[in-house]
Amino acid sequence: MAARLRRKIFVKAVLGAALFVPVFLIAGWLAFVPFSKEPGYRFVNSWGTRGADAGQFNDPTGLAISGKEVFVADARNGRIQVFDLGGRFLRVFGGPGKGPGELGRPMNLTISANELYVPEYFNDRIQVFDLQGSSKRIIGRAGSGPGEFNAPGGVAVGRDGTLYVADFYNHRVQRLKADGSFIQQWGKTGTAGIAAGSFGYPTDVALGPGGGLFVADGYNDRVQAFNSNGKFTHKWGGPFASNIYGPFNGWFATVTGIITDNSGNVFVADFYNHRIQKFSADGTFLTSIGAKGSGPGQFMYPIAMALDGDGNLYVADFGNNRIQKWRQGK
Amino acid sequence: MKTARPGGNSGNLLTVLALAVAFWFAAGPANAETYTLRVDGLACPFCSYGIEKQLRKLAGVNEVITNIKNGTIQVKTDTGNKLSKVELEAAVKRSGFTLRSVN
Repeated sequence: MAARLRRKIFVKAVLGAALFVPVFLIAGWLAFVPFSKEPGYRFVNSWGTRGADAGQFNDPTGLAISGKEVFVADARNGRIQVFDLGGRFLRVFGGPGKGPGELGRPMNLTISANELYVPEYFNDRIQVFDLQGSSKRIIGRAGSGPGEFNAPGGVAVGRDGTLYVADFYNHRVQRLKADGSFIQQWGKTGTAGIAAGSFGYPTDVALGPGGGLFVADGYNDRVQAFNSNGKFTHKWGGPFASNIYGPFNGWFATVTGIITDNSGNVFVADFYNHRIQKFSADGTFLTSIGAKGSGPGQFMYPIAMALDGDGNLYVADFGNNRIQKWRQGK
Repeated sequence: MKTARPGGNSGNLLTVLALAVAFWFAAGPANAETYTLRVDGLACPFCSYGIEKQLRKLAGVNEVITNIKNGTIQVKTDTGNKLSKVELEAAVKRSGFTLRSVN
């Protein structure tokens, strides 16, 4: 009798689990894996191969566009290369080193008020160039104090010249005056964390049209957003944006670059997932761009992005040592 | 039996010097070391550049070559400089990673 009862309970438990697991998985999928909400992007063209000649790259790590010119951070070659919007080489400046005008692993680029801002990972500084390539000034130095950097990965510039710097190894984002003097920071210096407002190796920053700040919280596999007063508003990337990585829509596997468009949409370089993801400013998933590979329209570790005036998307395809251009629509 | 030659001792000195230079070039810079480190997660430049930056700070290191595909880093030192596993381990740890092996 007891054995029969035990068997009955066991059968019920197995049946319950068999029903519960698929329901749980479907509910989880619906809750945490969003669907595309806008048309995708189509591949237009690409340029570059591995090398040190004009038009070749050895680790392209940053992109910025001014008018009809595309600026590429060519990290291991220690230089910036400039192309037209179709990929034709125009000029080059910089060279490996520590002096003014020289570059130590340039990373995510930004252009503001006709000046190019270059975070230098090896030299722990932001170097500002005019668009012809003359070095104009240097902001910051190595360290963990206010206004100092430990491997800066990306920079954003406000309309008044205020700087926002992703300070990678210091696990913080700094807000600085145009002259580099310290205003405030988000995150605790030298301490990684997953709480809202804490970071785990932040790689890049971007400002929205309304002055909101978006942070590529690199190894936390998420994006964090702050309003124009600097207050944390929301975060996204996987379940609860709590450092859970994965290949699904709206999830990340190391976030290495972030930009915004004129409508406030946010593009994120999803490095180890070999794709770019696009979101609205509130973090709603819109579409995914690219897939793993080395063919046309495929990426090997996309790391950085830029948009031209027509809304075309340019991607630094790190592993393939090339730049790709994409256009929205079928 | 010794045979006197024009140049005498200075000729012998030149011969010795020439032999020393020839030996130097044949043998290469003596005691230069190459270490091969294995570290996980090297594809991202934010990681690999961080490790490279720390390794370049070690005394005597003159070249660091990262091979992303097989996850290894070659560290080359100047003549007469050796690195301990503890030093290499600490440098990799400062960059936020764990050293898997050193050869």
